[in-house]
Amino acid sequence: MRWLSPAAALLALAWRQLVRSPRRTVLTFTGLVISFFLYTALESVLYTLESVVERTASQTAIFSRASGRGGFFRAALPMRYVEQVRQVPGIVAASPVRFYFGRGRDEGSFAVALGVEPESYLQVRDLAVTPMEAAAFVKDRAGALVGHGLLESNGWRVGEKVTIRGAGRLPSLAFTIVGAIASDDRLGRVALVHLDYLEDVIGNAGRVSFIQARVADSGIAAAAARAVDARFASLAVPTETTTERAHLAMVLSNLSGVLAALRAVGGLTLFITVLVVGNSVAMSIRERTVEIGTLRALGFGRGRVLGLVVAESVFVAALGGAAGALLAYAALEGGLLQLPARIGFTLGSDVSVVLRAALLALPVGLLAALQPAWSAVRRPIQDALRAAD
Amino acid sequence: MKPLVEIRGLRKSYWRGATEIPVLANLDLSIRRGEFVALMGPSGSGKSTLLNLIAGIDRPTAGSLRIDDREIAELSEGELDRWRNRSIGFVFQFYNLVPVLTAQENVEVPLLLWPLSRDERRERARTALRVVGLEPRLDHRPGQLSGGEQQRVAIARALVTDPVLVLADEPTGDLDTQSARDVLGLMQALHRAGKTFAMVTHDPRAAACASRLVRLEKGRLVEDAA
Repeated sequence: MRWLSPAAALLALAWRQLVRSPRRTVLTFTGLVISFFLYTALESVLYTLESVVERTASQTAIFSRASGRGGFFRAALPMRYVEQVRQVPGIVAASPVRFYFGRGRDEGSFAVALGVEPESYLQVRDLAVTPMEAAAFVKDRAGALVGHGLLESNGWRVGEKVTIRGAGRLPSLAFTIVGAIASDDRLGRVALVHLDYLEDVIGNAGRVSFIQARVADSGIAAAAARAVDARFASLAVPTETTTERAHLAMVLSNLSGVLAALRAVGGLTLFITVLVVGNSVAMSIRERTVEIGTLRALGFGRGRVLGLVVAESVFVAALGGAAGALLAYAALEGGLLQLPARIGFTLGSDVSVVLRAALLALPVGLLAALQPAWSAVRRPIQDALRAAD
Repeated sequence: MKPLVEIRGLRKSYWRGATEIPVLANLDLSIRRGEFVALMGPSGSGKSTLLNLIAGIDRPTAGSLRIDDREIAELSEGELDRWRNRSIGFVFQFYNLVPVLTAQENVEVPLLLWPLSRDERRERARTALRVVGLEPRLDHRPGQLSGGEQQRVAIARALVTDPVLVLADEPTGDLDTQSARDVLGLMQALHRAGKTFAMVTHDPRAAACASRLVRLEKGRLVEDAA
């Protein structure tokens, strides 16, 4: 174990070199903290969007929409289909859903309302509301269950009568808030209103955006979806039915360009970090050319000197990376970083994301130091010693 | 008795493109154990190159260079590193101390490659600093020491591994007269105690402290006087 003492002394030497130029070390460290803060935040956005399917998709929910009718949000599905969907074997409940888009209290804000049949919707969807709130919603035709996020962003309170101003030529939608949907529910940023009430306001009754159904068992969800589509295949408005998991995956696939851009920005952030740290290491090595030559003359092999320089870089990168990742985690957990309300997802992170980001600091430190360190140790000893002249 | 350093037909050339620039030409030289040899000569005479070759930090173009009965040119790079660490002590003109380490830690540096415990390493460094008269300043960093003191720390670092040969490249070149005298006095005392020194110098007063003077010109030995 005697090698431990020299190894510890070499690590101590690497540490001393870091405090040799405190300003440069602090600037490099700060750059690393900012980079890894950004990287962890971006990774958390990706994690949130990608994990939303896993976290929130029900195994027993299926969605039917009008096939090839200009998208999911358009009200193109005949209302009479709802009853026929209920008759498909394996389906235990079905509810029509109609989208309404508008603005909240602020001009730039974005608010979504879903018109539903309260009784059947509460059968197909486990809502994060109290039984009293659910009962109040069923009872009050002009009542609404409003997501916690939507309440917060508009400063609304339960019991208040509020108005969503319709997007485009849509008329405004006024309702009384009878309950709050918890923020961890995927509907945390929408308002649920009675479908017949919504139809009274905006007209065009008898058409819905989609039908949400619940099957008796997750194992038959895909078969039930196929059975629904088979039932309407020969009609003027055929359906396209998917499980909730597939439905959410499809919604997210529309964001694939955004996800790819986020990944590219994250990769670019790390690349720039490698360059910044590499430049700092190169400056530090240039100042120590004679010292490195002296160590080599005293018998330190290329590998050992390389290890010393790389250890310095990896050490500061590990500290900066861990600090940046932890700060991002704290900011996300503390709600200081959020996605725009219109995205509809609450941004969160996970220990695995933070850990992965912090561990990435090690190769960043290694890559940054490798080239300048290798150049330094390859330099002939007599040349390095002459740099003092 | 065999000499400590035995150089036969040593040649060293550098290449600038296709042009060969000879620095040392068929040099023969022996240094016995316990000698204090001063290498003198004008700039470009090849004295520093000779010192580098003896130190094993440069390789000869041709010829034989045996030190302590080992042919240096035949050692691999790793073997050469280990050999230098165990057998050679270095004293540089500008001391070449690590500024972030204390005097004692600087002296410990060559011992970091030895399988010693921290206490053993410290004890050896302390002893070396005592020999050069700097034990009271072992916790000082180079920036807190005078030039002469820094050079004495460098001499302690050169001695701490008890090498067979100490090589000094202009050890007084950056010192004032009094400090230079102190450093040369220390080297003479160590020489009298049995250490072998080879010192490159321009300074005749430094050369006068040596037991033998070797003069080089244009890569050839032109004077060898005891």
